[in-house]
Amino acid sequence: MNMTFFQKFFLFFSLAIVCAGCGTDETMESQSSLDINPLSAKPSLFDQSPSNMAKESLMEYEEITGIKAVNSDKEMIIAVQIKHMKRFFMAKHRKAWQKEMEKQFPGWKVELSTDRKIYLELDKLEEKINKDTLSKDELKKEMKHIIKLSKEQT
Amino acid sequence: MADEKKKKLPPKAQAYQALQDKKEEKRPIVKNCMMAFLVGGTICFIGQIIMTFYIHFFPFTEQTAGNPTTATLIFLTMLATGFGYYDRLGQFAGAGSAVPVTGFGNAVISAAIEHRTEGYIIGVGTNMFKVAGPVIVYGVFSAFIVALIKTILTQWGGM
Repeated sequence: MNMTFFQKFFLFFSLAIVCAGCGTDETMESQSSLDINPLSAKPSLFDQSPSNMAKESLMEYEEITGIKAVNSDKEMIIAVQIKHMKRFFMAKHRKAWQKEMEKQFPGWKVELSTDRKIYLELDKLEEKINKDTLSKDELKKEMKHIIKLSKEQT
Repeated sequence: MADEKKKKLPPKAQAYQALQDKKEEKRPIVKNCMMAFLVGGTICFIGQIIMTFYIHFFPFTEQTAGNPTTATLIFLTMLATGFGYYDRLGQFAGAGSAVPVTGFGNAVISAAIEHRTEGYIIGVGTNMFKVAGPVIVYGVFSAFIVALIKTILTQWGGM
């Protein structure tokens, strides 16, 4: 079989990617470190203990690898990252968790998302809250923006 | 059905058919599948990188990042087809380069390039969707059927 340089390179490159992708990373599995950092209390902002409580109760699920949550006075946004193979049942899990959170926080407007973008945005927002660089209005505005993002459809 | 047809052929033609079957080079199905898997997978891998890029640096969510990703992939295919790389890839990748959205882009763009000499309206305009047309027609048609089935099941089936 005569292969050109291009073909050989391509074959090698693809095989390398497949091998790297299919190899299970034992260290990652065994550590099972959750990506959670509780929010510290800031007197100038809303009390973030409901978010911390939500994080604690969602921590119980083994499918979840990371949780980000932020709340204002009557609104809460939660973003979770779930294990890659569990993504097949993502919609089912999301509905169940959303219901559970609504039950746990009656009277609150709870948004639970599994979207990567929402997770990244909440991560940034959590950092800002911990650094205390936000005002109440700014936090509400940011939360409104994130909720709008999570509602976007194609 | 093919066997029945063969039996009706005159003996000389049957002998020729047998000879042809013996001499004919067998299709390397396993190799073709492997190449299609690797190349198709690599194209999707590139697509995933582009999608992750859009999610991280632009206001797109996982839901909405698919559209700009498709557009970018088709744009890249346009360049690859124009410079003649995509047909070289198609030579050994087969279905791996035809099934992803890049294959659709290639079908449109190569037809447009091929018929450019016949003019922009009669040439490019009429021939551009020669290969891609059926994909659109049956894509829309099957989407309609699936949507119809889903509507019936959810509205009246109580699912």
